[in-house]
Amino acid sequence: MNIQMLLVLLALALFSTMLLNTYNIVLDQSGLVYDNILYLQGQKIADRYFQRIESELLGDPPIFSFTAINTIYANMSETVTVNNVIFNVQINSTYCDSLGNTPYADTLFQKVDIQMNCLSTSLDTLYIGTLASPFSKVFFSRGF
Amino acid sequence: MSSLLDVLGATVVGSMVLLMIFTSLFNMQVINYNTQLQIGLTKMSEDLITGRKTGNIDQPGIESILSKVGAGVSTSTDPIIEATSISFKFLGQINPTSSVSTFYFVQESGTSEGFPLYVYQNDMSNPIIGPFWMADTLDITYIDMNDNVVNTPDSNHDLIRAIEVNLTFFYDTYQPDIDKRLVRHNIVFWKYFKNLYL
Repeated sequence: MNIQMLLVLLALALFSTMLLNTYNIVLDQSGLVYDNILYLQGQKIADRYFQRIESELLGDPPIFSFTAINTIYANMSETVTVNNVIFNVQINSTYCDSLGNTPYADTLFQKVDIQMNCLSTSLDTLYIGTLASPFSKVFFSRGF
Repeated sequence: MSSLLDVLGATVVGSMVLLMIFTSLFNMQVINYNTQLQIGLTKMSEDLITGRKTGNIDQPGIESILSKVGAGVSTSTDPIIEATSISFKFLGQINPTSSVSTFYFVQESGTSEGFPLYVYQNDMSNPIIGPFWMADTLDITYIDMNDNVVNTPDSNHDLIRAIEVNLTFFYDTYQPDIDKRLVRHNIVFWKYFKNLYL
């Protein structure tokens, strides 16, 4: 085997590496798009729980009292399956002040935090809302 | 003879490299094109669900229309007229000063292009939204006050407090392969009818 053949083989190997890398980048971008679709679905799931709590606090008398909501959603774990993707949802409710701060909690207000995770397209765990930055909403007691 | 073999060998190897380059470029273009289609489809689907603003005009989304269920309707009137897995007809007020309208959120008969989704207001022949073509049939699930599924919703209107809507929009892909798959975007959203809780 002469030196020319070796050089051709080396060029092929180098070129293939570059090609693989380019493919990888394109597929990474594609994965980002699909992960964002999961984020959008996650937001809809969080919105569902907020709507449910808002509705449960409505009516005279409401379905659940303000304190009952605080107890029910204090530490709730649920799974929601959408399009064969399992979303593990964690809901926490704590009393807070009107700005959502918990150190100065008042039983007139409660903050509901939602965080969830699912399996991303790259099979890593995708966190939608985290402990530090959950989906949050502050609810106000109407006196029931 | 040796030179001829060298030339032939170089041609074969060169052709393989060229083929590899062209195939890779083509594949990357297809992946990029389909990704771009997916982004466009996702944006359009989300706009349809949540609404969008064109200039100074707010285009209401399906969520916004569904939130009108029972608005301005007296307690003696059933605000829900029809409740099936592919259609939902109800009474509601578009704003506090308008009269009560009849809204119809429906998937009509499928064609080779897919299943068309329409929203009507009062006039049942001229839709206010649609058609939007879906890959699969519309799937509406009705939920009661205790968050349980209402099994026979059309005969239990009084139990309905919320709906879960499952729809899938799609685009044709670029790749004309026999095993090609459509670019799809599945959305599931929930709408709680707060007027029915009051």
